[in-house]
Amino acid sequence: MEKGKEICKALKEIRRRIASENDIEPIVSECRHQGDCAGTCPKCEAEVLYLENQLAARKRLGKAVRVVGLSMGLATIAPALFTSCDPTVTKDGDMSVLQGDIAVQTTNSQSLDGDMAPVEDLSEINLE
Amino acid sequence: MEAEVLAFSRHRIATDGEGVTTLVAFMLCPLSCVYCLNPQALSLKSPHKVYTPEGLYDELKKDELYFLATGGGVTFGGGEPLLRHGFIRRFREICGQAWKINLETSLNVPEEYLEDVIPVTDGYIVDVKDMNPEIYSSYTGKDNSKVMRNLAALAERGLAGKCVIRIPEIEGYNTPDDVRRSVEMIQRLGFENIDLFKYDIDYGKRKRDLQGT
Repeated sequence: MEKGKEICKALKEIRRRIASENDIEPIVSECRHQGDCAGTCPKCEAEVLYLENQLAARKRLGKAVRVVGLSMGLATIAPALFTSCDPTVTKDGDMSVLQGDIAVQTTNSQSLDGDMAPVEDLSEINLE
Repeated sequence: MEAEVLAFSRHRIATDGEGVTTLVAFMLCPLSCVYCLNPQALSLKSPHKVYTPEGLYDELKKDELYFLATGGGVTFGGGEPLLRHGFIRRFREICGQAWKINLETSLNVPEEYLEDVIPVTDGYIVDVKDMNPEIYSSYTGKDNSKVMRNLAALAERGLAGKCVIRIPEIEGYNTPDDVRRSVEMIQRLGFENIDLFKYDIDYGKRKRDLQGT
């Protein structure tokens, strides 16, 4: 689940940027979770809700809110994510970030991103 | 209006579209690919949930901040998302223009299905299998005439730049030479973003066996 932790880091960085750009006091608590990480958790979701509430409060006060495009180019904020997940290697050696939702690459056993869990068992699944 | 959904996959980063995306996998597909990655999507007997566009939006909007900040949004896959063209159009009306909507599709659907969603779609990821009709038919159980027509329709509308064309090498079905010929055909149509890869047929076989198909 290293990939899950990398996703968690990337999402946390996005939240930090949104908070910073909108003069919102960021939640700075350290994640001490050990073991499997699906990329998000109730604590992370609560942080998103906190941000949404803070942004809504700013709007009500007539203050500007800036979110759109703050974290374009995710590779620059979470480089580890893009080196740890074995991007697809195409025949001509080019690297592709597209991974196997429609198919699976033999070059990459981690490319099962599109492997779906039935919603009856798990209403949402995250990257494996 | 409702649609059967196999599953969501949240927080996909630069995987099937720019930024943070949520993949929504619809049930049902016109193809019967030998090494289908999601065979449980092929039958409504498999576990699934039913959503209205409004209900699906309520589920997905929890990630709106990520979508907006990163230029991401929703990728509809499956299954074959174009079978739900009306649902997707309605979903766009609800989510607005700020979310990106991408489709992962085989394009093996009537042209009017594609035409219906072109105005609301930001990107297409198209798995054409192989452009040789015989190879395509032997692997998917269907002919690829609709795929060819829809590829031409996208190109004629100047949408080639919004498409990533995936061309797999499938052991036992096509060869590197077949793949090269497919690439040449695709390029002649005007598509430049081409993703070449090999299927993991062992994984596909395991999925098929698990599903009992």
